Amino acid sequence: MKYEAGARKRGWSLIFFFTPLLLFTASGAAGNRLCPEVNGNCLWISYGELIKEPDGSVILPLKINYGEISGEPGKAAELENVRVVCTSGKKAGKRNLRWYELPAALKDGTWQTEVRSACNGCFTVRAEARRKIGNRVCFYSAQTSLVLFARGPAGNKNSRPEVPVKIQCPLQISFLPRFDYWPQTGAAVTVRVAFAGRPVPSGSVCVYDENFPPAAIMTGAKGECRYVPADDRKLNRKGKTAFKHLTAAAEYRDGTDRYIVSCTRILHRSRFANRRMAPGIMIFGGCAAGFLAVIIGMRSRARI
Amino acid sequence: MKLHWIRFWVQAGSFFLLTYGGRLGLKLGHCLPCFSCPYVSGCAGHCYLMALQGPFWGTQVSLAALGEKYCLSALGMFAGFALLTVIFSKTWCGWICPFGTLQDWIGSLRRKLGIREAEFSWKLTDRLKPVKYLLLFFLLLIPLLIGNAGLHSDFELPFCQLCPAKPLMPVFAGKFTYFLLDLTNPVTVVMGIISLSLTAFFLVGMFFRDRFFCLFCPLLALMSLFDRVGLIRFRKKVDACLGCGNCRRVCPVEVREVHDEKEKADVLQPECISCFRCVEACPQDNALSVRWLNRSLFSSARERAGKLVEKGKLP
Amino acid sequence: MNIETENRKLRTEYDAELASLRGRDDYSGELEYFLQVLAGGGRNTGKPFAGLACVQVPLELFDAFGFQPFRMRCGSPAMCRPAGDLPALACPVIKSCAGYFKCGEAPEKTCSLSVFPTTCDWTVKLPELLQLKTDEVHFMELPHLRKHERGLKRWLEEVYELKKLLEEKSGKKFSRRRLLASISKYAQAWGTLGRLIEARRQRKISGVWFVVIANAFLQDTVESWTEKVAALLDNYTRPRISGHPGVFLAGSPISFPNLKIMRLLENAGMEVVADELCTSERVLAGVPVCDDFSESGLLRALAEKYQSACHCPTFADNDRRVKNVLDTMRTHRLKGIVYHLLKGCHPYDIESLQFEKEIRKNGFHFIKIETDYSPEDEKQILVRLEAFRELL
Repeated sequence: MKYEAGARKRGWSLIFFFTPLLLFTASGAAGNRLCPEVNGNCLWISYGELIKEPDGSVILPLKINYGEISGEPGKAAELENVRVVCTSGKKAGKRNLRWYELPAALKDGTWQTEVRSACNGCFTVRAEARRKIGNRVCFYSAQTSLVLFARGPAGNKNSRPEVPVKIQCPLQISFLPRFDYWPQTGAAVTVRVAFAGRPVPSGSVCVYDENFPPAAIMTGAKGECRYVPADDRKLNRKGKTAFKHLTAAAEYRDGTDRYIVSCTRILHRSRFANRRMAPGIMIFGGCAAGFLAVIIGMRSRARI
Repeated sequence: MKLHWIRFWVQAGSFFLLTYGGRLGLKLGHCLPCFSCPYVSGCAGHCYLMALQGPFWGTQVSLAALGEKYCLSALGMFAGFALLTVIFSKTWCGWICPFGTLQDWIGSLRRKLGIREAEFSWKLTDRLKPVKYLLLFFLLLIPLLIGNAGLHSDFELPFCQLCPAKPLMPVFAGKFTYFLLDLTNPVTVVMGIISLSLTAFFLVGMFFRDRFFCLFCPLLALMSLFDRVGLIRFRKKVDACLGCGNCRRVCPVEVREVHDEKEKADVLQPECISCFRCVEACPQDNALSVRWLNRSLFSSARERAGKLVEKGKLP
Repeated sequence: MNIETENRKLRTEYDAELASLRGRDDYSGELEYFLQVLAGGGRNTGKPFAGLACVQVPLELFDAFGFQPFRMRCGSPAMCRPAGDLPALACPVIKSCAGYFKCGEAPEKTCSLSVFPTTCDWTVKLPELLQLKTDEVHFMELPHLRKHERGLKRWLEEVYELKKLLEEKSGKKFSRRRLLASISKYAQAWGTLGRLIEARRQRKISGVWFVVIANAFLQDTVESWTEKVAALLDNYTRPRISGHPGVFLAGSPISFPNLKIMRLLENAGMEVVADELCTSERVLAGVPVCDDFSESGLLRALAEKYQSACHCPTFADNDRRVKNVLDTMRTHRLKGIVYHLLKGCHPYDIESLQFEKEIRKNGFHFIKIETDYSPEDEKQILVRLEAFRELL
């Protein structure tokens, strides 16, 4: 549903939805995602499986997915000016950052890129593209922030000359805290939306989780809203390092131009949310009492 | 020289150093041949068993991915462990291991209460001896299966998950975390139940039996590989042996061979934890001696054995 | 048999032996206590007596229940005659012991309790020979194999039975504290005995006096004995240290007043520097180091010590005996061993065969002296010992 807030003059509407995506392998494709508020195609990032090199450095493949979030994949060839940029360090998103371009290639109908690192580091990857439909332009942007751990030879392999950032889309969406080395279900995240640097308040948000019914949240005065990923039993059954995607998206219409942005992060299963003291103590105490009873019983029968 | 007093203070010092030393910046590495449990936050060093089961220096790695760098780091860690074991031999168990010290303290409590120690028949003790080697085998196999046969990764660090030190030792750092049951999935639930049951079993067991866990310790099994090359030697003058059985009776791990041996001089046994109580209890001069680099550190003495008993007080 | 006459003979025998000992040039005031104790034959300590045979019975247990353990005397040649109807081949220890029982003044007769471990056949049958009443006698079945767990367990059961008996007889409940106190007393005695042994090794005390002092153990309270031995060690100085070659004495027990072999060895020019007699150096063998201070732990320590540390040939697995002897001989550079064998003492006789083989195999000299309590063979023995001395 569309909600027209105080920014009626601008004629925009702001809708968010979260669409966690469950993946069995890290290369997964979008599942069935109902996205009634974002019409048409969207650009979003998904993670591949981390590759560990013999020299200790790591490579993380990323897919820049394009298509209807409701399910129909788009034609990547329709996109123009596809560019992927990356910055390293915790200050990503602030001004005067060093951005460098990541090589991206179209493979099997999907744009793909990768982030390499020889040492521990925080990276923000942003993919941008646009599409002309008649005299209208649709600007797409997808962003993700990630943490990589590596013990390779000294020096960041990805060092490239500085590339001036040209943000095509003034609508920005991001998860806060920006960097979390172990995001997990049950841990609250904040979604922040800003337009041309200014927070967007009272925006309607659609939350969609593949395994849960959709929910709606609203941004507050600071343009932020809080979301707590629910405990996911399907994810729990996998290993500690298994993950699924959490994606937030927003759409903006300005006259004939449209801006569609997304932000992705991965979620692991919760490390601590499922631990219970009561059953643990009962098992421990019960067993201890049982063993004690058996031993005392055996000792009372035998004289020696 | 009152050996048991020296041992008490060395054990207490090691316990505090290894349990809390990390908070003072002490870092003794990941290849310690004793149960300095990594789950204790602020510990000074990590038990080698965790490294042995893990993905960095242990067997939780796919055979296809065994690159040069991985092999080197794993062998390097093993070499560190081997060096520490060869230099100090089983004194790691009898004098330094914090979990061993905890068992000794619980045993002292039993003594103070005048409760008799549980007796195991010789047959039972002999039957329990292979268990530690079996645990060592599974400790190495299960991570291999995780890395190569798709075994669920929640079986990782299998021995650490079941080890009674994991719930018990963090208590000394104020954490009862591992008494919680993890209900995430069936594997974590089952491992959690087994862990808590085993912890209860060993806690009760170590009250009634000295060093009960050491009968099953896979680290002792690993260290016994180096018995022949260890620098600590344990020598018996077989002709001087009275046969009184003091050594057999005071031994916390039921080693009978020190008493039974009538031919060979080298009596260091795989189960021995080098506590040297047997040497202290031996009433014959120089019948038993502990040697390091061929120098005698400590020998049995008639006078010392007598003085142990002359006190005449209940502990 | 006239008991009065026999008693007089006994007193004469004792007086003669005591006079002989007092007349030695190495006699001194510190030794008088031991002579008086042996002369008195069990001092009246105010505690009820418990008569013991052999060395496998845990002494500390008696002390803990307020009994005075008393070693049944068996060293008098004079008492062999009134022994009466005994098999001809009976060993002189048994004959003498029987004689003491028949003697009117024997404290053996006033014992509340007599305890007999089932060691050799003679000890097992002695109560029957003495026609002692069943309720005065307590047997402890001694397993003769110690290398198996069942042997140790059975002996521990016997010690438990003894504890029950003592609780009954004394009317007191078992107390860990009292037992530990008794263990401590005997440990002090053992420590002092160790010092005495060391003094003998260094020739600071003669072999004869050592046997006298050791014999006096268990004829008085352990505290008195320990105190007097300690005082002796602090104050006694042997006037003249003999230059005689040292020998090891093994074999059947030597009991006061029968010091025949000790005198003969001295006369032949040899000094007994070490022995393994159960009435001499091994009167207390080993010390029960306790690890477990519960009732079970304390009794187990006692049981194991008394059974496992004993080198009596009554045991089937007794190979440590000859090894210990060889170790002592090597350590103290002794060249020869005198094996004293009482006629009829079968366990020592049987074991002497292998014993001799081992001793000779290791390059030491060996002589076996088979005798009894009578003085008739003294000259023959002396000649043999003098010849043996030449070898050393």
